Amino acid sequence: MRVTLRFFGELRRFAPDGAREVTLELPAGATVADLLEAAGVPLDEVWLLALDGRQAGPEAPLHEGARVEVHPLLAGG
Amino acid sequence: MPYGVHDRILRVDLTSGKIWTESLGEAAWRRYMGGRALVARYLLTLAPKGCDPFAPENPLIFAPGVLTGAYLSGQGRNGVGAISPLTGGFGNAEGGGFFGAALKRAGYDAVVVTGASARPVYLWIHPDGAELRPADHLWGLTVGEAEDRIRQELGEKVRTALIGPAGENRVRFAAVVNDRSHFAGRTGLGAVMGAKKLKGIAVKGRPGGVPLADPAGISALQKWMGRNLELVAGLHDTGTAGGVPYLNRSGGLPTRNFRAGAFEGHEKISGQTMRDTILIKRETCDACAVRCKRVVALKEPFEIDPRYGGPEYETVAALGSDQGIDDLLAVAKGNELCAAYGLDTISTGAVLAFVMEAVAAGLLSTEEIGIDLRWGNGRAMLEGIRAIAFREGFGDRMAEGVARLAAQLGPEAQEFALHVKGQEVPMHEPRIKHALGVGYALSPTGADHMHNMHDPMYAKERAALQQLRLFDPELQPQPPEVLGEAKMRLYFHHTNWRHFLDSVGMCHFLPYSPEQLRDAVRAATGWDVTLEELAAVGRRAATLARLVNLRQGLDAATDTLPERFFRPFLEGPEDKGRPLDREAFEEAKGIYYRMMGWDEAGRPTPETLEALGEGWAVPLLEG
Repeated sequence: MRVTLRFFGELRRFAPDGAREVTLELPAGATVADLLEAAGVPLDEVWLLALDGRQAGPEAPLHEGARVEVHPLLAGG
Repeated sequence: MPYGVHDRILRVDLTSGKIWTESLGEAAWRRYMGGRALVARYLLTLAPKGCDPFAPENPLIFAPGVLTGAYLSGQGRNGVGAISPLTGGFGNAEGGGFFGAALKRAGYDAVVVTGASARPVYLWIHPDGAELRPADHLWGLTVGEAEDRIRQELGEKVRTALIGPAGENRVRFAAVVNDRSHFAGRTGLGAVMGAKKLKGIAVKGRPGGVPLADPAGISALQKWMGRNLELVAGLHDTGTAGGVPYLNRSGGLPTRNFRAGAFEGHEKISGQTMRDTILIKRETCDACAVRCKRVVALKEPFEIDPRYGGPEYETVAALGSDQGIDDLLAVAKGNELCAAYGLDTISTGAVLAFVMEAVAAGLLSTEEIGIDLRWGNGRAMLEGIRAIAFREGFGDRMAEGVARLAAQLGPEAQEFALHVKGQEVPMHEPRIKHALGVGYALSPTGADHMHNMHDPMYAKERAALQQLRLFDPELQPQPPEVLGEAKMRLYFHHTNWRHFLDSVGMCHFLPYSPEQLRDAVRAATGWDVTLEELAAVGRRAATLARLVNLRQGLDAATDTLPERFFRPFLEGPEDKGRPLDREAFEEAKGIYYRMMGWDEAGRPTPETLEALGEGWAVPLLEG
């Protein structure tokens, strides 16, 4: 299945060539955590994690056409 | 004529009713810049040694900074300071909103209030002067009611800093409320206003009331922020409470008075859930493009007035997970009550969590309390807030704060009395952030999360670390759960910068680099400042604040951390976090003293004061 990952703020450094988002092909049954691993984004750098615009945990299952957003840690704590 | 400031401080003596202005001179403004540094300076020059927080001579300072009032995202903040009723030492908190910017635009850089009034009064400040007005008719009103009345009297456009019933009743953690929904919440400064019979300050500025050296420079940075909102998109979307899931999976969501670091009901109280349920809009502070502030509304089962805004992360954790409460509606109602009554949500939640643990431990009974304060009871939490604000029944004892209440309950209660210097621990877990734990001990205000370091920021090669290297190229990433020289070096530079931000009047959440902020200070003031000079402002603020504490009897023996954080979590998750090591903790404090130029007993040396340009304060070291 094809899944899109969108990077915010300084997490864009994990995006290829500074792109805003990347679309990856993942096997059926893959989770958000699998997507982050495939994209090389360490989970401990992700402050906010959304799947299709809703809060999601790393264990959430993905589906064809899913959109995942990752936001970086905040400066203020 | 300086830029960025007017060099005009409003002095008010409530005992005599006298009002006058004074100047510090431009050189002093360049040293202090406002906020925390200015508060520390005034507390040293005006407060007698060992000053009683409720005595008329306790100076109460409202201090924006040199950036406040410029049309720039993040500048809408002001410090408030006094000797703290909670700690007995350096009291200081910052609030956002519009009040600070309006004060600057009215032509004043700070307000310093001494004395005490016989009758309730409020202070009305406008571009043509200032006057004290009777406030008998406002005494006893909530913050919102009082603001409504003042606006009826003075016009809709006035901005306010007010106390509610909690401040009037000298609750030791009463807040000062800016513009109804922004809070200088910590260290109990609202109670100082209550003791002075000062209901609040109303202010009206005039547009463009702050002269800027280079308005185009400020405007360029404002445009940069507008173009780069993506950097703070998450903050805008979910507010600070968007961090709940992240903290929960890190083991850093304070749960049941820090017995655990993860909460089974965390999804129900997250910023995401708030956004998807009760959020009706996002609000902002003066001229800020980020719009991170929540506005929530509700009719059933509780009615919530949206004009009080909505809960921040600290509130969600303090009124939610830390009390085992997973009812977002009750948390939101509790937030509104704390705003209306003028209570710090962190200390309020921490006191209630402490009482819940005391009940669970059998040290208190719900019959004795008169409220069913047990883990997870959201409605009891709301009753507890009312009891505290009005000091009703057992609320009178809770209004004294965790440290004083625990002292009445005996040695067993000390084990879970989570405070430093008398200030309740905020909603960040030292066992996943070891420098933060040392920071709780070292903070001049008692346990604080803002002028502190959150270790994961510097755990990897990230933008934050690259920026901090501007001050020290040798800095290296450090794991969150270690201490030592390299970690404390990060802490030293990071917290100096935080103390600078709290002096200059800048929000910690804005994504500006140090160079951008240096340029902003240059554009506002025309001073050719360097990064080293700005960091020295922070070091000066922390050093003078330390001196205030020493004069109040708060020495290195009060640089402590509750025992709970030196032990494993009492409840899961077992694989997260690591207790602090006592020896490493003690060593870390000593490292910081040395870096700051303080002696082994944590006292600033005369040489350090001289080097900071504060030689005048050397005699204060001796008494």
